[in-house]
Amino acid sequence: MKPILEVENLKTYFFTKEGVVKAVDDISFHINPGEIVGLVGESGSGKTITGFSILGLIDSPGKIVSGNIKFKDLDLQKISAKQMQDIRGNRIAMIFQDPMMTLNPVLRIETQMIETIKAHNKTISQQDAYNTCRDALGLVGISSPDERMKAYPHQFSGGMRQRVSIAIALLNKPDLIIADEPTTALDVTIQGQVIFEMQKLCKESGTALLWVTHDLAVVAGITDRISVMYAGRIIEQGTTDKIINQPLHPYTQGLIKSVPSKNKKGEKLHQIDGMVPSMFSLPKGCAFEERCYLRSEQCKQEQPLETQYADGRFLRCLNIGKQT
Amino acid sequence: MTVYILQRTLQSFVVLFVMSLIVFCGVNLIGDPIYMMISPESEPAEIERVIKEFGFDRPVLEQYWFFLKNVASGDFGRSFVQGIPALPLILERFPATIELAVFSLFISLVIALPLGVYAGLYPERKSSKIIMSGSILGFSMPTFWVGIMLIMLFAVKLDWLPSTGRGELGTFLGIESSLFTLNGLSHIFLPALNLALFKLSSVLRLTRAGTREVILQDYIKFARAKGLSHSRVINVHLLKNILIPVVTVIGLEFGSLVAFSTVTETVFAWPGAGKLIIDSVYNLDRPVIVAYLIIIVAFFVFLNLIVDILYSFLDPRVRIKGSSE
Ligand SMILES: Nc1ncnc2c1ncn2[C@@H]1O[C@H](COP(=O)(O)OP(=O)(O)OP(=O)(O)O)[C@@H](O)[C@H]1O
Ligand SMILES: [Mg+2]
Repeated sequence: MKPILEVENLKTYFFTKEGVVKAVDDISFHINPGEIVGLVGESGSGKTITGFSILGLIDSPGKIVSGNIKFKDLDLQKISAKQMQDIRGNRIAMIFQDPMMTLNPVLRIETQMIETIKAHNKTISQQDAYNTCRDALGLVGISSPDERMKAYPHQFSGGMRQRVSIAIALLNKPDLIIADEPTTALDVTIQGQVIFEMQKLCKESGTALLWVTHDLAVVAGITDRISVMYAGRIIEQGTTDKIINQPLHPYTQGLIKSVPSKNKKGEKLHQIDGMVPSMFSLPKGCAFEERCYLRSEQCKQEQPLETQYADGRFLRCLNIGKQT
Repeated sequence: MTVYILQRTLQSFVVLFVMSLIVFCGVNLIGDPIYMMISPESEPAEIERVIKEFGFDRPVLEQYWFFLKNVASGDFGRSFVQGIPALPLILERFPATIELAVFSLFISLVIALPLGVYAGLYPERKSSKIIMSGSILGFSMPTFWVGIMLIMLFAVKLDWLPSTGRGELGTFLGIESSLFTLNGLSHIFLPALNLALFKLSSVLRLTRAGTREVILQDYIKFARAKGLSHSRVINVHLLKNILIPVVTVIGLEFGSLVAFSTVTETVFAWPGAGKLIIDSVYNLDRPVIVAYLIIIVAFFVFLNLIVDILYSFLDPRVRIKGSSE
């Protein structure tokens, strides 16, 4: 199957006064049509910037320094601004991380939804656009959607706002949705429901999903494949089953150990020692070296390259290959 | 909403009352108007008679009480100089002042909003820096000097526009104004531009600061992520958010535009209330000064109320106490 999205050696840097922040540094991954891929990593690892890079929404002082982003047959780096605008919100939609800040405070929900349709369909009637939006609100579980259409964002709770942005993402039946922590703002009961709904919607319409989260537990149940990010790099990627049940990279192993679960009841939760290094002064070698139990002298000096293993997974580690 | 407006109106009356007391007492401190009305060489008996007639021999508070009673029946006293009632004298001049203020507000908005948004969107560009330095200049040059320069350039040297008076008046929807004739427009242009410079820089700076702040918000990025056109993002998502502070400031500044149009009106011999008040101050024409100041204060208070109400329409987050929504 031909991937719907292919990211190759993407580097997105921020050129700030204090120095260069390599927010995304040489990452490659792909998403097949209808597939759900998880992008997992700690805060600051570059997940959101990856999403913005795909949509061409990096603003100065940030810049995509190199790499290819291919969507279907289009090279997103080469197409015109107008073409990119046609893709945004239409073929690739994004759900933002912070639901409190995503909706414009002075515009009605109705306005913010209908404009999303009209931006990509000039001929649709106001009534048809309205109906589509109202139905989308109903679909994400907002009761009395007709009334809600007239409301302003401040009249909604955080969870409801997040559902509105999910509804907006679904409006134009995109081929790919980049969902940046779409359920973090929701209560646990709703979380499960929204995850289930989104999964169902994507299966039904064949929409692919890039599910961005720091929570491995959320992603384990729904994704086909997982990419684990650390300090701007993808350090391990493979099928969900392989990543969850046989993690190879010490960082992935640490992440999985730190997920609370039933059979670890009573035990103290695992914690990865040390801290994420500052993005301004990343070490010359592997960024995880200081916290790693497998570290060697070589790790301090050398940047591990991404290598593919027989079971189809990719790893960035100098020591794993030696072991097996 | 109605409860709120009633409350505010009541408050406004209190403010007006206090203000009138201050104005009245204050005006009594500046000079003795007697000798403006009759020659100092008159008979002492004659002087005595006039003092008695106008009640200048009574205590200030008693004079004030008398004044209040008259004001309650709409009588602000007669102009000492022209001998006609002060209120109609001022009201007759007000349309010219309001028209000047409205037109100069229009000019400053038309210039400052787009420039401010531009300078906010592209702060690094040379053109933005030129705009901002220019606005400092507009801020710091004295109005009367700019007015004289405008006259020298456009009226004397180039002879494009007239420099004095209001020109022909036209009538539209029952309102008489020089905005409705070409000749009138040519007359109002220079004084309005002069007055506009005063507000232009503050609107421009406000717009730029607002733009720079709003453009960084997630909802702008989200609007772009939805695939909206650049113009829709700017004209709807950005502008609607900046308009909130801009409208507030403009509303409040409109009052000062009217109040401080005195300089411009004097330079351009614009027959408005500002020119009248300057003349009245020279002549110690107390009733006119007091009436003018009270009208201006009433105007300010009224504007404040309008701005607050408008604000609640622009910003849905502003909840007004007693509002039913
Ligand atoms: N405008 C900017 N200027 C400078 N650095 C930036 C900018 N935006 C992001 N960064 C840096 O890029 C890095 C990655 O940020 P990103 O938002 O992608 O993290 P994240 O993985 O989404 O984290 P979180 O889980 O907290 O959302 C961070 O170190 C951040 O400091
Ligand atoms: Mg993020």
